[in-house]
Amino acid sequence: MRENYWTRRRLSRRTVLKASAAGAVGTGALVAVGCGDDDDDDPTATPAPTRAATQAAGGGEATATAAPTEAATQAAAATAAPTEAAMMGARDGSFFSQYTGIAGTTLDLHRELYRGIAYTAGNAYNNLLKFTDMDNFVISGEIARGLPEQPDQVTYAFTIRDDVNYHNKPPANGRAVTMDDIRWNIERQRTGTRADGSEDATFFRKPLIYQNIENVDYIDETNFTVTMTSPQVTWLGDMTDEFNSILYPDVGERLEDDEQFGVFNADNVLGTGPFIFDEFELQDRAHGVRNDDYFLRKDGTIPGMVDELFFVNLGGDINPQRLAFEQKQIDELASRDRVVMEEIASNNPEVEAFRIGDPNNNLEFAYNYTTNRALSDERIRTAMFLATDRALVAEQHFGGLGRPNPAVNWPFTAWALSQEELSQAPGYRQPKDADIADARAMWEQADAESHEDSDFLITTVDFPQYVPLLEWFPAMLNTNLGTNKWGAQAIPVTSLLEYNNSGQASVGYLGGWDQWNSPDPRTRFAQVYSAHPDDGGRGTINFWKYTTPTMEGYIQDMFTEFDNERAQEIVKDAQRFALTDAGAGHLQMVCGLTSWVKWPYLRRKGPFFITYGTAISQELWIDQDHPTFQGKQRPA
Amino acid sequence: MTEYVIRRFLLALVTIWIVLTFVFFALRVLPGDYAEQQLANQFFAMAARTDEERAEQLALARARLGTDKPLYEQYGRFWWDILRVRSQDSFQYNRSAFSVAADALPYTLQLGVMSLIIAVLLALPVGVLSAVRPDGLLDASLRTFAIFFLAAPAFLTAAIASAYAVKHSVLTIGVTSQSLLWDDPWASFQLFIVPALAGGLAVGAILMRFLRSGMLEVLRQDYVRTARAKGLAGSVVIARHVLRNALIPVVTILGFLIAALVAGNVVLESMFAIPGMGNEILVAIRIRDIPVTQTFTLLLVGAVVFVNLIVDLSYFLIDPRVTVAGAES
Repeated sequence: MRENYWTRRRLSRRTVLKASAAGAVGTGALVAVGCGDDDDDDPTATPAPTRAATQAAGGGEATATAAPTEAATQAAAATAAPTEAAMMGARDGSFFSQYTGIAGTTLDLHRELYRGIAYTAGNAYNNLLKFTDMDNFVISGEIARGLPEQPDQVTYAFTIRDDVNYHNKPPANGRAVTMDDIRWNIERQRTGTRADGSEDATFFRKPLIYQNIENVDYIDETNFTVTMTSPQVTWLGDMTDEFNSILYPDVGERLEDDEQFGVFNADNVLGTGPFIFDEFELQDRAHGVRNDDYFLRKDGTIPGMVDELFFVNLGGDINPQRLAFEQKQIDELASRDRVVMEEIASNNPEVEAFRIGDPNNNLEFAYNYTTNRALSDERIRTAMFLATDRALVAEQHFGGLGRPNPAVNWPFTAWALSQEELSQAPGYRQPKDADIADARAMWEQADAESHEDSDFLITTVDFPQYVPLLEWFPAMLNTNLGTNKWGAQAIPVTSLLEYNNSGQASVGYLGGWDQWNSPDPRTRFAQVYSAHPDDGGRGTINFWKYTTPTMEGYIQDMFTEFDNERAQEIVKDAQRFALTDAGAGHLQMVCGLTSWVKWPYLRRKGPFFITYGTAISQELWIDQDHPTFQGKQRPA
Repeated sequence: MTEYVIRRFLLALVTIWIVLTFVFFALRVLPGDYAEQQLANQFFAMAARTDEERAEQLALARARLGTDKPLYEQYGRFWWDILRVRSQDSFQYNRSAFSVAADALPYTLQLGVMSLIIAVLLALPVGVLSAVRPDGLLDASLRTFAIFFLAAPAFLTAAIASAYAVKHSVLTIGVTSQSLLWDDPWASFQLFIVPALAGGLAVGAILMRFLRSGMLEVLRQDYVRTARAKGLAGSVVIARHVLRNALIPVVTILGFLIAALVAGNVVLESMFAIPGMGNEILVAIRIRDIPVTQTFTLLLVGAVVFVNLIVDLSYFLIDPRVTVAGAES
């Protein structure tokens, strides 16, 4: 390896550990399980294009031994976690307890963005559709009776089940779900208006799911038809969004009152789902009891469930999480703190330990491709792209638990460029010498030194896990480019939006980019790489309005390609194009793995990296005959 | 004496006013507010909006929280609430900041009181023993012990103790139940004992050092020699003449330590998921929950000022020679 700053002076292990410990904050909600085995065998369901069996959501890694010390970068991508077999012999009884940060702004899921709320309150709700097999990319009906019929590429004919009831508590008191309820849920999001007719910009699913709907025809009590303005291949998958649940209209309208908007209590969690909450305290705890009137239970789809659910917030410190797990006060634990998780596994040989490719655990530099004086120069941004040492990033920011990442995060194994292909790409090659030589040549060619230092001042936010970036990230670029132009600053998260929208002054944002919430990565990909909505594109988080005809062409193609395998090839071509264009506005670096441990008495599917509330409660049970069940403790 | 107490009380009120006014303005000078925080958390959704739409959202959020009003109006409202013994609703919890404090305070007090009991139980005998047998093996051992706990961070002691307790099933540390003594005494004791021990050992080590040096100084006084000369038993001399006079600096430092314990130990509370004042105020400051920050500051400043007042008054009880300037003892 070439002698440089980083081979001479690595940051201390302590610094790396501190960063990874801080990264553990709030990761309790990262682990998720698959959805219910619903009525996807319904004879009225037509084989939807999205049902093509593909390995969409891989990235799991099982470690049968107590201490998972194998280098993450060498880990196999295939899912080896518990699967259907875990549900064999499922029966009722006991309780499930998990650490979760219950943080959010409202219990109106349609106007919420905090995944912790969907993860917890979501256990009280159902969607019309759900992913029922993420590995194989299978979508099924939940409140809808199977998948909608699709007479053409823009029409979806839904039939809803007639045996779905709201929870038996006021004000619903167990009444049946009607077409009026479905209409209320769809129309408030489609029009983005409250019951009083006022527009509300916080119906966040509107641009993603409902904008492209031309008309909804509510035919009778069980049938309705959705007509799109243009084909949207991802729409069925988008409909499974964890916030797109069927709410109870009275409660939803109560939460439209500004005074009630942020009120968190069990009364404001009322759905059709498998658990009825009797306690829901913000940033504290939530408790639910099994809904014995649950439609998927009554029809035998769900063979056995726990009696109760506990979600407890233990704060961001790993110590109480560890204490809670080791004493069986919680049944499983997910964390990005590699060291502690390895210790837990080695101290408790009977626990099951896994690592999961986590697309929301990543590091990218989303840079100002368009109006920044320096980075709008193709040569300078390419020099930056080439000079970035992904192996170093994996070591420094992820403590070794990370892999180089293309534009679609690698846990989407069927959609992302393979590690093998990536390792041959400029910017990703090891050893780094060739990339660095090319980068320096471009840097000099572009006369980058003549630019203002402020054009190279990278911005991150003042979260503890990002603080170490301020030192090593610009140092890496400076060393590899033979300059001292690069710098970094941390700003309060409250100022980030303003900064990113500040035009010329803005250089870019270095940090994690999440919202990878579906096994189908196309929508999220387009949110970043498609033209900004102001320019008629899908790029709702395309801050600096990056757009090129080539990339836009790929995006148009991937959204109109109904064959999954061909769509995956288009997505890969788009990533290959991004590699030739300095990441197309995003300097992709590394995506990490999250460590996960569970007691063997907890029988569950998954884990997968996508969070679905009902999936937690429907797809697990407690084996009270298992020897490790002894000593399981009940949270008060 | 009465005049002195009244003067100290009025001075305490002025101190509280100055601190709260400082905190009031500091919270509004810091970059970002709760409304911005909410929008920042809705980062991805907001990104697609125009500047005007974002500004509109921000204005709506601020109006909802009442932070859009002029500063003088907010300041007046703040003091009016205090005079009526009320508080604004917490931005994050949507309920009175006093009720948030009322939930957190018992945890902090329990941890603080347990730590204090451990500290005093440790400091008194160890400090006395160390002072009456100076420079011997016992003194050296006890001083080493004290220096170790002075140097070792409380979190380290707590981490080692909790790991040991769990590994050997000595305790059930109920981090998910968070019981208080009056809810479930045994469960609560098991949860609090490790952090209390860690905090208590650190505080006890400080007290022990002060007590030892105070006693060594008193032991050299003439009146101690006189007491011994007139045939008083050693234990009586120590208890009646030495310890009592050596306590003044200890009580002074104890006042500060009690105030610190009431303020909550952020690290220990975090390590054991104890939902006390330290944890709450840390989050409140970070997310700019102004009502909670202000209310907690009021309680903390009030506690610090009150404890110091009590400490000052306790000097009269401990040492009758202490007088108020210009008055007779």
